Amino acid sequence: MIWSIAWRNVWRNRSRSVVIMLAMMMGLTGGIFYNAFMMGMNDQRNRAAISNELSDFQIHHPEYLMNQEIRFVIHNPDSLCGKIASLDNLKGVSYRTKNSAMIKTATTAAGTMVNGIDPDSEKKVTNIYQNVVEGGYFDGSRRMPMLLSRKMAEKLHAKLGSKVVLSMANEKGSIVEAAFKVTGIYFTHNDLYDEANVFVVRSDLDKLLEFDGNSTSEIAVRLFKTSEIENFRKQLNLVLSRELETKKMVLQSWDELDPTLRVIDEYTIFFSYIFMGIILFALAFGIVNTMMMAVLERTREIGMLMANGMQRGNIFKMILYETLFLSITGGAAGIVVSLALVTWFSHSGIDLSIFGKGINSIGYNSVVYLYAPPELYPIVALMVTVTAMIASIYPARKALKMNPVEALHYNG
Amino acid sequence: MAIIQIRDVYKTYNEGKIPVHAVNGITLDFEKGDFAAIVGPSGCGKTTLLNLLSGLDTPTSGTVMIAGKEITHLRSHEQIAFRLHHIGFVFQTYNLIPVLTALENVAFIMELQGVSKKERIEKARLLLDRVGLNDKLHDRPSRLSGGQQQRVAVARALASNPDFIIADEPTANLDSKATAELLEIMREMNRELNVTFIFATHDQRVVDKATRVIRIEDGKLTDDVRQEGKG
Repeated sequence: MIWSIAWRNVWRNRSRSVVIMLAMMMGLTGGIFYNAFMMGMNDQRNRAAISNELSDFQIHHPEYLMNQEIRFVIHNPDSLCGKIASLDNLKGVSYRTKNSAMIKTATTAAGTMVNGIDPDSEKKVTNIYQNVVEGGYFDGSRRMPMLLSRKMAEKLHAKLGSKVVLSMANEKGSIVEAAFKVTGIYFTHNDLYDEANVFVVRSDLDKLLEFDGNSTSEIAVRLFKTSEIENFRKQLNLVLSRELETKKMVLQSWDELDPTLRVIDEYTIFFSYIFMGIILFALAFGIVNTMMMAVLERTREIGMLMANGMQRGNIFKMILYETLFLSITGGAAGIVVSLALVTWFSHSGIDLSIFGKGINSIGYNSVVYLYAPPELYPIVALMVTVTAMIASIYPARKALKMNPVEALHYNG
Repeated sequence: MAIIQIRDVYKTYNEGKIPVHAVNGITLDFEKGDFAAIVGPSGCGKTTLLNLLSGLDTPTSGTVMIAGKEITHLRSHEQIAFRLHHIGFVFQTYNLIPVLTALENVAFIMELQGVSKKERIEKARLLLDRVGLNDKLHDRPSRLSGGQQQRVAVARALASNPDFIIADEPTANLDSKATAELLEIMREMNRELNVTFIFATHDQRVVDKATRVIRIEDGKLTDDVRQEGKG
């Protein structure tokens, strides 16, 4: 019956309880919404990085990681790709020739990374073909085609059909140049990436660099499920064991290629829980205050219970249960509302295009789709429960310290 | 044999430098079946004496024995457990649990004693029937009159099968009719169940009904009269 009394006591002063429950609900909703917003932004950033830029794995010559020069290449890419192609959960594998270059128009010039890609196999490892916003992807109909980012096009005052010249050093250190035609303009929401990368057909670049076609700068591997990355790594380590052991190449996953993504992810999660903790800490004062009022109002009743033989442990339990019910009801409402909001905005997204330029400039999409990992809700529920238990200690101790004689004659 | 034996009990409060003897050397016995009223002017020590003989308070010196057990040196949790099984209480302000129904208020004490649900509900129904509230079993205190609430309190006090019931000014908030009904019920229970009732009261109607009147003044016992044929 202690449970029952505690639950009914919650509703004894209905408006006071509802106020603290609403505070709990709004506090938690705010906290979870904020966390889901931040995690959503990061999740999108990571997905975009994987699908537009990095793929799940990349393989390079070990020296290439230190110095992205054209001479640091992997040999026999077709054979290596053939081995990788036999693995489970593989969406695609493609190799690229990459080189730093100057890109020039009649009016201006800029530094860039030229990505020589195989148009068909590249479709399976990145979504660059889907990010073409003007013109088209490489379809083989034009000679020396080039995909330029919108950002770079603005910088170079170039547009579709413009002729641009790439100037770069080849393997022997000689400067080579060739003219390309802008056949497509792409946009990825990541200004940093867009400003630094142009795409051409690999065979055109290989010809310019006098490559024999039997070596490459980079192999990109894409999985159907990024969550399977560790299992896939084991498979890759097996099929490429000889090359990896002899240090002819290095295998890196997306978060090793761009460690800032993982660090930002971990910081976001860490600070999300700190933020939730601060919200709950503040709410705990509200809970303590409410429960103190409840205990003081019931001084005589507590005195009666002690007089009639209710042990102090049971009185402690009664206050604890009441605090738990009060908090868990508010907390559950907060979690339900958050779940609904997060679900809604995970589909519809929050359009921050008003701040779009600023957000894109740091690599994030201007439409944020909320994301809360499933484990967030039970963790928050646990945090609420622990907060309630801690918050119940002071009022419960107050009740326990009551002298039954004084409590029975209390006139407050 | 006496159910309560009080021997040379003092309760002294040190208010400033002057000690105040709220109970000043009282020796007293209560027999099984007593229907006793402790009377005296306000501040004479009636309530303090009740607190001492119920174990709610401890005497400065002297002993209180209930059912052959010395209670003055029991530890706090032992005293609470002792009260649960030996003493019932009726208070001036009823002190029912407002969120429980009449039936639950009575059954709750038995739950603390570990009585099974079926048994306690059955007994609570019976007791409420005995105090004339069989039609109010599922009403909460806020829906009951003062007299009805005090009758629930009497049923609750009886629920634990106590050796005696302490009633501190139980009629102070009741009108004449409710007082008469309540006293009649208490006297009936006293006779039928042979439960000792000890009142602290200013109410002459209670005194008239009591079979024993104990007078206290300045913390001292001044009179102890049995009123044969009363009640």
